[in-house]
Amino acid sequence: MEKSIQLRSWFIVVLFLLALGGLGYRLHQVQVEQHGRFAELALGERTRKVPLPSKRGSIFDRNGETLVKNEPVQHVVADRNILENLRICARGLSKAKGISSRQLVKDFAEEELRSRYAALVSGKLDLFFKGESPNLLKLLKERPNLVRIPLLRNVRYEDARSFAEMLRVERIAGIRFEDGVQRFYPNPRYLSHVLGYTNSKYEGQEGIEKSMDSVLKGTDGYRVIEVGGNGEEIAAYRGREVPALDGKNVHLTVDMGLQMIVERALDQAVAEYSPEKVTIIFMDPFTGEILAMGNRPDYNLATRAGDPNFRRNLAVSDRYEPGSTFKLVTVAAAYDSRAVSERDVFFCHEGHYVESRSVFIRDHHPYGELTPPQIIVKSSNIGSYLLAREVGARRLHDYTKAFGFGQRTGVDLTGETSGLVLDPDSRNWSAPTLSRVAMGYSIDMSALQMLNAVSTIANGGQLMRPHIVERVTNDAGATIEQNRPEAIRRVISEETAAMVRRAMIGVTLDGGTATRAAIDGYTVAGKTGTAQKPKSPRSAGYWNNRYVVSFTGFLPAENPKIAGIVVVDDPTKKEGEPSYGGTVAAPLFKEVAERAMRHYGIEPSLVRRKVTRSAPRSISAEFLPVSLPR
Amino acid sequence: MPRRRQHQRSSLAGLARWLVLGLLAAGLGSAIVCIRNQHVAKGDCKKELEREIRQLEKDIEVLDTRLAQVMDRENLVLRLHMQQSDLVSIDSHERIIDRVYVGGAPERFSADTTLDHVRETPYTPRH
Repeated sequence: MEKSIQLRSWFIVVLFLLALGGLGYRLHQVQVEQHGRFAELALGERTRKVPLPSKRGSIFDRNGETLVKNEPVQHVVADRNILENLRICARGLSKAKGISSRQLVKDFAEEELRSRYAALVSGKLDLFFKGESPNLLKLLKERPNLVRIPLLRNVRYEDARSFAEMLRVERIAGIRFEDGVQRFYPNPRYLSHVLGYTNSKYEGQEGIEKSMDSVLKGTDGYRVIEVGGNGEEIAAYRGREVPALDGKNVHLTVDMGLQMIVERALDQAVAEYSPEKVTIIFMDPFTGEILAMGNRPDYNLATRAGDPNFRRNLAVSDRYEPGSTFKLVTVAAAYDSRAVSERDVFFCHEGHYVESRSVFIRDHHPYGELTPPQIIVKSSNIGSYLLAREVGARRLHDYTKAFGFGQRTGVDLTGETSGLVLDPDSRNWSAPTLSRVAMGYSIDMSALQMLNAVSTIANGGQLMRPHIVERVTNDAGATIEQNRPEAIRRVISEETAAMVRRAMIGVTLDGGTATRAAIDGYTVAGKTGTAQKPKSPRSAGYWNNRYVVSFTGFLPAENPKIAGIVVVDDPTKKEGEPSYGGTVAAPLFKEVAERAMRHYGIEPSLVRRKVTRSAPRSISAEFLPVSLPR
Repeated sequence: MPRRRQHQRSSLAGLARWLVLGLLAAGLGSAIVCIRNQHVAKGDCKKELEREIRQLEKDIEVLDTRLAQVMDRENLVLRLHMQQSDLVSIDSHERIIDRVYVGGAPERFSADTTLDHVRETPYTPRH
């Protein structure tokens, strides 16, 4: 009997030992062998990795005026779980109807109560957002499986707050407000081509937003948090944290004061001439800083409605044949290469010149003998060709390339074209090509390239790299990167530049082609261009009565502060007035330049000797240049 | 064999030792719980402060945006126009000369005040 008890005791002990061994083995499995997996599972239950979003940088003009910044907004979202909660429905309706919740629950069926509450919320949305909100009732019916129902995006912060307060007072629940951010443009119609825009993920798509995307966008961070049973963070047990790095701010060289003047002139050009396109650019010829840049047609940055083609920055991406403005390059090349001197005289064949069956050139007026500066002043086609012949095709091509044509300027904007410059050794170069290039045909360029070439003449012969980004700063305002003026190369000697400058002054004086660009009190140097518009970029042939007219120049000519270009594509003729560079583009240039002088406080350099308002204006009669360089 | 009475008696010193150890453990445990509670409470305070700071930053950003909106140039031009003080072209014959005193205006004009003290700058009157 005692033995049997002993045996049973041993059996129980062994059984316990086996059970303990099994438990021990499992414990070993869980705690040692699969420790990593279970630790991760346990951690996953109570920890979460929450993103710390970075802020995209802002864009400012050269004076610190805000051009683009982030605006906190709210997205309005409906929560089906709350909207269909009977207790909440009854509470909301009770406040609205003045009946107790219990009575409501008693009087109405569940579905009826829910739909009445949804109608109440929908009505509040309609009332507050004046019909901008989608129909909540319809959405609830159409998407039965959707718990989070998006209603409105990018609601102004103040509006969302007022609406939330209204809902709180009226004891309406079920509408949530989620934080969001959108790009805000104080002047959405201005500088749109330069600034560009971002997509819904805040990635730059055009303009500065795209070209400076890597600088503007920040790096998101994250934080590992521990949550309690209610899903709320227990801030005391925060884990690893990688802070978000905000994007940097970009300061442009653009001056919004001047930009406004340019935008007004662009609107004026559209109103007066209904052109296909207009471009105006102004820059500092000594530093290459772009001070203003605008095009029409344009688009509104806030809405981005309309033809997507209107979003192209024509100033850098559109190619055009410049016409006579290119004669500046021809004359500069001829003088700089010592092929001609300033006093050499060229017979311009009284306006008709026939060299061969393919080379026949006409001038607008019958000119006789002209010096190189006079060829610029009178804009003689024949004279330009005679000079180009003296230079030679190869040398003219080399100068053309040296002036920056046929290659991108390297401006910090997207979509820049390199233009087209024919090589004299290429198959496309034919017998009449030199005569055409000499007067600005058979060569394509952007308005910025032309302006940069003119700036080279204005600054004494140095080709500068045009730039629109002045500096990059951090949130504290410290400068991280600074764009300094960069001279690419010396293209022409100072002597050549001075000679071309003097000739360009003559263009705006009596007898020149752009007297309408003259500004009282200032010496304006410039050149007009009137090029026939090609019928199609791919086919030969030009329209007889459609032109691309332009004017490019700088002032004050003796010490240039600003250089600018106005290109008007296909202006509609005004009654009794031909559409030339001198009649369409030059007055627009004057409009901007005159205001710009006042904007920058540049004092007049010409003193009035004799004020006779009725007398015809003439440089010799009325004005005397104070310090005109020779 | 009858058990001796003294074997069943517990030692007072031992009991006291256990009591002290127990109290110490309880005190330590309570302290840990207390500290952890405070830790959590401080964490909640920190979270609340962070939320308030975030809210303030957002408010500042919203105000900043509204300021930028008020300074919108189109509005500014419109307001200037409505106040009839917008910029209009001025012919040079309308320009008058205003005298600006270099280094401050002289206290009193006297025979000693020469033109060396003044610099002439163009002045554009408001229309």
